[in-house]
Amino acid sequence: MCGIAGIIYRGSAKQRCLSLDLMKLLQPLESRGPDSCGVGLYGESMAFDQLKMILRTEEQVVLEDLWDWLLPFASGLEFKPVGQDSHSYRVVLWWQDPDYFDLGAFKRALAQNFPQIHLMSVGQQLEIYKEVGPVQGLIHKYGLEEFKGSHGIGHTRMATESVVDTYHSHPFTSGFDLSIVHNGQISNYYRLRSVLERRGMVFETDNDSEAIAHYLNDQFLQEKSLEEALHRLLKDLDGTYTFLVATEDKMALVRDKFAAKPAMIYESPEMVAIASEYHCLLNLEGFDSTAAIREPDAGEINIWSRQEFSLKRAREARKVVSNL
Amino acid sequence: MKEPSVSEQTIVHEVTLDCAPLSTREINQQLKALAAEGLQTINILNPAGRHNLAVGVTEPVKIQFQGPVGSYCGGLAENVNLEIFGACGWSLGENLMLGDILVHGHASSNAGASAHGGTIRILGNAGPRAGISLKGATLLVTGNVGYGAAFMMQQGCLIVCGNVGPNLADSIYDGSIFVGGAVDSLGADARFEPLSEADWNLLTRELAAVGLVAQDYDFKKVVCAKELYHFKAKDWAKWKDAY
Amino acid sequence: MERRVLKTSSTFSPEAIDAIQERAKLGRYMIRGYGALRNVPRFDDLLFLTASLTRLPLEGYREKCTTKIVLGTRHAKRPMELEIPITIAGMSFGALSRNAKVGLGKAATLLGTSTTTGDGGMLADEREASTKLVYQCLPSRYGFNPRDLKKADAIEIVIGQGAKPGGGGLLLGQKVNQVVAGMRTLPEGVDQRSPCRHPDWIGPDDLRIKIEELREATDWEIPIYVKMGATRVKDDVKLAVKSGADVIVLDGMEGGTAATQSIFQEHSGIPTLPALVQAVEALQEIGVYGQVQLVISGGIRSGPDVAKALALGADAVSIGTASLIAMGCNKPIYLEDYQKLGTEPHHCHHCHTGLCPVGIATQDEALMERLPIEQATIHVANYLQALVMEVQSLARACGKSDVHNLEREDLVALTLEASAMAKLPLAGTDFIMGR
Repeated sequence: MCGIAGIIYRGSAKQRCLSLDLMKLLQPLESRGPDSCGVGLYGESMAFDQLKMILRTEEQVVLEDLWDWLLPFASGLEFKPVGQDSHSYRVVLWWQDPDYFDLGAFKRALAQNFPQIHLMSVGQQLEIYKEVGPVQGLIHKYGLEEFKGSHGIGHTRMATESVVDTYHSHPFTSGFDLSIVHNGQISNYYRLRSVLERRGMVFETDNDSEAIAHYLNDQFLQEKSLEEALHRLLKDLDGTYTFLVATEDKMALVRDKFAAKPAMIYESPEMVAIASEYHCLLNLEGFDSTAAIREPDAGEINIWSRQEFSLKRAREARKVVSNL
Repeated sequence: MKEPSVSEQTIVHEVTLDCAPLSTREINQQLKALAAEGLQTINILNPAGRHNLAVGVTEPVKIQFQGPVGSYCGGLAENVNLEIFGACGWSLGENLMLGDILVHGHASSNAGASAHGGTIRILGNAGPRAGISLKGATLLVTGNVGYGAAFMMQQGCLIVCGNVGPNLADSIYDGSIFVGGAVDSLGADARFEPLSEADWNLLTRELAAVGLVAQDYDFKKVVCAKELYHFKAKDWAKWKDAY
Repeated sequence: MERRVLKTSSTFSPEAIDAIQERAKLGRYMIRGYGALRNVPRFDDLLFLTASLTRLPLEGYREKCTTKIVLGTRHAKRPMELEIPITIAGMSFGALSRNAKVGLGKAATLLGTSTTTGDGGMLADEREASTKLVYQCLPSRYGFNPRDLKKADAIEIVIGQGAKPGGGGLLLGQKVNQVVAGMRTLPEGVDQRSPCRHPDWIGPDDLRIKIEELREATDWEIPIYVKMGATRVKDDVKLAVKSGADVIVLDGMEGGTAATQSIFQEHSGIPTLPALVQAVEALQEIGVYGQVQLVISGGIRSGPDVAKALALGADAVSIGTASLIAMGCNKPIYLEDYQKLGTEPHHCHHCHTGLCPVGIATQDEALMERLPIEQATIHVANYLQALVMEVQSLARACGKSDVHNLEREDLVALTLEASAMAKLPLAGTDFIMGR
């Protein structure tokens, strides 16, 4: 049980700071999610032949060893420690063959050679940071005070069934530039997991939210669009879920068919912001009181895309006419 | 009490309370203290979407919120008179026994949950499960309501000028529902019924209170079909959907 | 004709055959009262290691063995102070007759403990009879109102109960008489189904806000209990604490009800013994054991049951079914009336019919006259007193001057299941099943 938040800017939003905006939405949600927090930030985009990874380790790693191991994968490499305790690194690799990168093989090889290192996120824009403890601590630890980006999602966690630790926190990821944050409980998690594992997905935790990430990635690998994938998800996933999913250019909000967990949507000329509770939105700097604020209904899917910046609202097969 | 002289006499009718420097507990304690002193109106500034404001109120002193409130506003109240200039969160006026709540804005889920008496008026939309477990109060929504409205309603009156989402009045026991817009689908043991003259009089009265005209809407009436009051095995066709 | 031996199928036993034919007749699930009838590992499978040369036993009388407990110390200005660690569990007026509720209230008052309202609201007579009354806040909210809330000595938010965790309440039409229907705002005579979820909150993150609401409505004076049926105990207890519970009330599958689908009683929830052990572990793991109190219920019958529950870490126990039995439930009198229900004394669990032969689980005035209040009071008070004396005897024999000093190390297990569930060694061995 938790709090979720998300932001996607219209236009360039040069003057806004993504990490600070997200923090303003997340801090009031610490009462719903006191155990840990995390953010998935979509920042500076890498070139077409570059990949960005965030690596995190619990113990010290001999950097030279890691560097030597990574080098053969790429035609170039850039390494930057992130955060205060030299346990996290932002790595940018230039790939020899930019059309093909076997993420699964890479992760297996990483696990074998450096079992203490976790791959937190991979893609051209996405950076995932998560920690046990409060939001302020997270921002401070990773020096995210001035992180600029186009969109991002965040989460505060009250652990339900799985462990309280960094890796069981949200956001979860599965493929490139894919992140999700979830409030609720997937009641057919074990069934879904066994199906997805047989299809090649590798689960890293026993947190039910992780299944959403793998489910969507599986749909993308079958060339389904985000909209199609989310429609299928509403049929296949059972339980309670209000969640945000973000890709390199989109953010979507989904609410289950019982509307069991809360969410509010804020739409202003500057941005779209989502938060579990209304009062979080009031925290935004420059909160626009003329902005449209609405609550999605049961089974409602909302997708915002940076490409055209068009708001696309896709409802599950029902004829409901908005009348106000 | 000291007898005031004419020049000293001060009669305080209205007080303004600023939430910003206060904790929720302090706000509620001050509200109760002011109500006990016999004030007529309390004006609340900067509620900023806080939860649990004006909970457990027993006096119908007028409380005005100049801004949005969070969940449970006016909850567990015996007698209230609330006016909210802004949106409100979950479970507005839950378990209301008596009094009036007026919202100039949208309400979130479970508006009027389990309310026994009094009237709750929402000048906007209400979210899912509006009027859930209603036990005798009147809930009026000028906009639309979402999924699962009036679930297990027992008594009372739900009036929606706009549209209603799926499963309206699922498992209803009694009471009346009037919908001016479209009904997506009915729940188990709910059915449509023609409106009587008394119904139109009620609607005219209730809508006039918020400056609307009942005849402008195509109201439909939904009540309990009373076919699921007692289980009968041979009526399986009816029970199938209930399960 | 040769005499043959009759062979009985274990799968299609007489009970299973009867159940199939009952379904064929009814066309729906079967409904009955009580809790799980099946045999499960229970406190009987544990034994006390009382004093010998190791440990000094205490004498009775002057070598006091105290029994008091305070529940809800975390936030409340007026926590619940009890003279004995045994309370009366929530049972609704509607399920029970007025005389039964009042009898329980008066007996509890005599012993300095509390009773609990049920799924139907606060009966004025019960508030009058009971000096300490816990007010339940259930999914149905039948009869729930702010005025009664302010008269309560504690609030118990009911998530579920052991007989039917995840299921809603049920009261069949014959018990929904005018008074009951009035209190519950229902049409008279209807088969009442209660919802399984609360109307104004979903999930522990929202429960947190609900608990704050209840505290605000009662000026932070009284403790807030959260009651649950025992299923995923560890996670549930931790979440209830994170949501703000002052007291956890946990009900194992042996816990009773006046009416529910029998499939719930027999096939959902876990027994009280493992539930208690997991709950204590959960509280210890999040560092609140002792600050958030634990009340266990579900098939508590005797002093040894109470003592073992305390030894395993409960702060108090709650008794439902047994208190009714003390009043006369299943007593071998009015035999023809038991037979009319298709049962016999010692085998009756037919509370759902409303035709309780001894006037406890009924709304029929004529039947209720068979349960005079004074008689009910004396029987329950005697029973509670007997339990207290039994607990003190065992505690003294273990060398304890307070019954709450009973501890795990005073116990051993008789069976492998009990050893595994209680994580206690098998008697006479060092072997803990599963370690």
